[in-house]
Amino acid sequence: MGRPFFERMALYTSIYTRAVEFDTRMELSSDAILVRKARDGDYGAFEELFERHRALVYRFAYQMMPRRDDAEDIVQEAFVRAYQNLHKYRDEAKFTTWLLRIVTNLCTDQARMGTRRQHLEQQEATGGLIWMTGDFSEDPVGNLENDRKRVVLQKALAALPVHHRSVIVLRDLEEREYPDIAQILGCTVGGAKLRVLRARRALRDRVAPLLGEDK
Amino acid sequence: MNRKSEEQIIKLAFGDMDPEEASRIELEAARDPEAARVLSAYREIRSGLRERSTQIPPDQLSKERLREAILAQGLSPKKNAGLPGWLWMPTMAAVAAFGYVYLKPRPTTLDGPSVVAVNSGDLAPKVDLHVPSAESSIGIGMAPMVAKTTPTTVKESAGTRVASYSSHRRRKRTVVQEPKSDLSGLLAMNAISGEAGMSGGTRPAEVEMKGDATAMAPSKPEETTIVVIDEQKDALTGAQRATEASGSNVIVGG
Repeated sequence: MGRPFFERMALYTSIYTRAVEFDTRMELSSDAILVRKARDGDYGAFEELFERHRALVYRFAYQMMPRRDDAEDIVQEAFVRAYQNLHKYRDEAKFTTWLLRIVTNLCTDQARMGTRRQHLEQQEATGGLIWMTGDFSEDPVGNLENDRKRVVLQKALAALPVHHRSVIVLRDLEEREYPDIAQILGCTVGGAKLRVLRARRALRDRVAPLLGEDK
Repeated sequence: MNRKSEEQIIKLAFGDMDPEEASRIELEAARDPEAARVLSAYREIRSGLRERSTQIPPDQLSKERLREAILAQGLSPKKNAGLPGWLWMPTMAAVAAFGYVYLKPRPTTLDGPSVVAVNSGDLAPKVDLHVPSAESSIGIGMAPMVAKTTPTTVKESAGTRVASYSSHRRRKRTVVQEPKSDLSGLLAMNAISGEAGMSGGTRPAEVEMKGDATAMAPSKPEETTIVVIDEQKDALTGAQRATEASGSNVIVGG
């Protein structure tokens, strides 16, 4: 009570700031709380985690497997594996990072099984179809060119090896930070940056010939 | 263009560079046509990827599908744990102790007429159904007598072997009071007609015979006697009636 007014205001402000920081930390750690409950047998907690993160995981899976059915299968399998291996999850990493790592591994496994080749063939067929059915109402030539570039990029991305495609999706589509990418891939931050660089170069190497054909 | 230059152009195109270094590379690229072309190509790729990232169709995932997938893998989603783990042990111990104390089987009253083999010395009224003097239509020798039921409480004795019958079997108890006549001298018997379990028509007698002294002759002290306990309780005393039978005229069915 005997403190000066400004000193008291500073004290109250610092208390308020700490409270806000505490709330933020609590919110970030709520995933860890749900994981702990799920480990102890609370399946409702795991369902809560599913509802929280399924959109993010689905976006990533769809970028990796551009068919919705395949992406949904990957997401479902990822959460099943997460449930199976909850005991292996360490609280130091974000739960989403751990999930995306599972999805990356699943996509890698699927690519190795060779099913990807069949999808590529289907995409090449559908890619031509998309190109031919673009919107030509306003600027036919411009729209045609834009659609062609979009299709070319889609094909090139789909044709990338899974280890290149995953880092392109993580960095350039999902805009995740390099430390997260490093945790997902299980490498250092410098290693993640290098992998992103190589993937971008590989993508351009596939796109350039297709775009340069007209020139 | 060397590899290092291309790496810098890639970082510039995708925004992975500090603003100061970015402006420097931008100026260098402007002076080099090939660098400018490569920078333009990478920027087109980046814009195309950004456009693609917004074209995500909605998913059809659901919690039910996930649960089915988990169950299909043989994993069982557990229910809420409820108590913390460290509380389970004393809780289970308390439940087990409660179950032992309150749910352990206790000796209960018999539901139906039971055949009890007891030492004959423990029970007072002894009835010997052998009445050799009179002839009867039922083939049991009996003297003219008056049937009378005597309530007898059931007493437990050491080494008692109890054969109880299921409660669903109905017992019909009839007491025939025979007028004093010297005709057939039907033995008034407690027609506690057991059913299948007492097949053969075991007729546990609950009468106290008056008459021939020989009929009242107590059995030998060491002889095993069969006591039949009636399920119906006496209206006056509230106790179950028991009659003792010995000899070969009691058939115990099982």
